[in-house]
Amino acid sequence: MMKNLIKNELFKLSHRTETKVLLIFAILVTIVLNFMNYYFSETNENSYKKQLKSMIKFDEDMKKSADNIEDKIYYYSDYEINQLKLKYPLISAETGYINQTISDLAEEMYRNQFTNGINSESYLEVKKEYEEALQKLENYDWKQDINEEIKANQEVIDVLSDTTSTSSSTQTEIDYYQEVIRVLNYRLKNNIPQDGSNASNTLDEYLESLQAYKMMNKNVVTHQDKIALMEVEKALNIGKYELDHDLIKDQGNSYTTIAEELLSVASGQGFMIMFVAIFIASMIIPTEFEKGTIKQLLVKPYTRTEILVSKIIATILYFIGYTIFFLVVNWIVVGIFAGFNTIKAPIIVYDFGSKTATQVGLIPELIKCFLLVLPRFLLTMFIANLFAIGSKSTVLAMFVGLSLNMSDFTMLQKPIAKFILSNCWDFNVFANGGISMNEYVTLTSSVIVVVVTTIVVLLLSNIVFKRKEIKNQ
Amino acid sequence: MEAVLELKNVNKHFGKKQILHDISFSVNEGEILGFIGPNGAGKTTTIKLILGLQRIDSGEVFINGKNIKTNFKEAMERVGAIVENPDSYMYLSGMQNLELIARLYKNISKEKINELVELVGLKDRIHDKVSKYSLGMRQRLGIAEALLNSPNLLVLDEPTNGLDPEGITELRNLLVKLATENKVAILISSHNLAELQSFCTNICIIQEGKIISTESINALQHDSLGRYIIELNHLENIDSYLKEEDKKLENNMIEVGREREEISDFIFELLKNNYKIYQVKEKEKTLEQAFLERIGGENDEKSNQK
Repeated sequence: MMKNLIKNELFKLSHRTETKVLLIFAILVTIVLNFMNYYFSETNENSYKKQLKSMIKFDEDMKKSADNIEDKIYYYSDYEINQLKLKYPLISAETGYINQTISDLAEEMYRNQFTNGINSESYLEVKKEYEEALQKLENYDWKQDINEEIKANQEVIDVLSDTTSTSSSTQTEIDYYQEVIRVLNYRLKNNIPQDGSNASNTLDEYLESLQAYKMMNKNVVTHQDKIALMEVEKALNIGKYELDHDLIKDQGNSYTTIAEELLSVASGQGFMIMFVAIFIASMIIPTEFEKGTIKQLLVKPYTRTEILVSKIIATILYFIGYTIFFLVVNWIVVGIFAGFNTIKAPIIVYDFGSKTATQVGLIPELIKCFLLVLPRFLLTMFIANLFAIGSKSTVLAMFVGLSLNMSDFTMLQKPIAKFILSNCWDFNVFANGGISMNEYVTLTSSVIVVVVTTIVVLLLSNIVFKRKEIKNQ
Repeated sequence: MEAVLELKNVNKHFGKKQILHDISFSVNEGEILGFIGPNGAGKTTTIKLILGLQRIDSGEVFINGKNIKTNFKEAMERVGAIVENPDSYMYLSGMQNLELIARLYKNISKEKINELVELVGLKDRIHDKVSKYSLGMRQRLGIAEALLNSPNLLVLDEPTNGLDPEGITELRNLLVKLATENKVAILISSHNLAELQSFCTNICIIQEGKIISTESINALQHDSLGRYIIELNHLENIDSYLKEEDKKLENNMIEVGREREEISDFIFELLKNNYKIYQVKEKEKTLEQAFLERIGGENDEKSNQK
């Protein structure tokens, strides 16, 4: 019979104007956010070209009015480079070449022109070099550049190997350069020039993490050092895994991927589903009091506890349903803006314990992330609900729920931090052997705090709801 | 006859203020108990205590022999109620509201729902949202909702609010039918005694949280016997024949209180003294007046005590 109570609650919830508005709101918010991300993303060709044009205009004006050499050098070379960029797409090997090589040459050329004069030897030398580069750009063969780079790195390795002292530090250096060569070969094999595409950026980031790891002190003392080291190791190992398994492919140049967005929703990073959780939990009881319909419900052959529990279960079910709905909306909207194939972006999970990365499927990972963040949603709902019963005010309950979620005490480095709910209720932090940013917050302490709070809040809700008298109008 | 609803020495405080004092009464099957009292006397509070909407400080309430404190679910199984206002979900249709309630009881068929919709005359509008209903229509829907589980105890708090005279008549007929044919026990509260007078079997009067009297309609009406109105040709010197509580009225009429045996002598005396008598009628005191007198009496007692 409890089943029918729950059914009724879900029926009522789904027929309310507010919940219908929330469904439409979810669609609108997703469309607007994605439209803005898409339009203002750095990889949007249209806005890029527009921006270039306006910069060229600006450079033109500044060229005339610049009164010191440094400014002149900057605006003259910038003007030239932007003109050049206008000819090529944003994501292209050519643009990469312009950004990395030609822009430096342009600056050097103008520096010589303005400091040493137009007839100086140094100027003419750079100018020649610059013109050669422009020539090269017209028929740009990025593979040739990469091959040259490989050669250069190999030379460094040869020099390092020749040294008689084969200390561990030299070996680290050699390993590093070998990894650089591996990345360069990877570019050749998979056709990834340095073009600012997602794949290219991923490779660059991997090299950055390699370098960072090389420089890092491995004997960590403080908690923050430990976290930093773990993060770098994670980036490093994930990068390595992706290289090993040929996972860095041309995933387009979209500002995001469906996989990434869905995971962010499922792990509770967005505002929307948190808002819905708080809203539903805050209103499901006060609205019945406001309209007097609670009397109807309470004179039925059910105990108050049964009625309360049915409302809580209905809230949870509705919330889960809404989350699924929101995921589907995101899938469609992100698909439209970023491309539906971005759902295939590989998802790699890193285990801090064994320091290994593995590729996982999207659906299991979505479920895992959602289950791990569920304690946070549930507790927020239970607490909002408790305040809603006590005060019969939706607004107050929502305020409490939102405050709990907006507050951030992660950086409070005191033992009391482990008792602060917002520090322990998201178990994604501890997933795969992860640790909290806060050194006092451990998995065990978090489990205890969350379980105890849940029990106390639910018991209190039951007591308050049972004692609630329906005052005369 | 078994009592369907029984209250035993029920007390209720709000803070330090005692709202109900030792309320006791019972409603048997087939009885319609009119629960009468001025606004603020404690009618709604009593009804809320019966339905478990407020806590009982002391005393007991039994419904079908089940104590509502210890056996609430079973006690409420065969109760239908409307408290204060008919409380339907405004954003749902009348039918959806009925279906919600039907789901909360065992084995309520679709036919039963349709039957009730027909009974309360909402057939044409049952699929409209309740927010579009008039108060009277909501009241009818509330009655259908209260009857869904075929209750043997109906508790109706001022159910005539918002009903037009026709609706009141219909409700009255319906309640009488339920009481006589289905043996339903009905507790119906009102501050308007005239409405209940014609169909209640018993009347319970509450004032300032105390039950002043509980008795059958007949007994209450009996109080009103013994007053006569007499029309004469003139009222000169009439004072010498009148007692203290007798009154002179307009149009040469007088109102006198006499026992049945005395009235004939009184008329004879008037005739003897050359008064002409055009009409003599027994004055039927309304229940309302009897009621007011009860309350008045109670007040007098109180002021005497002080």
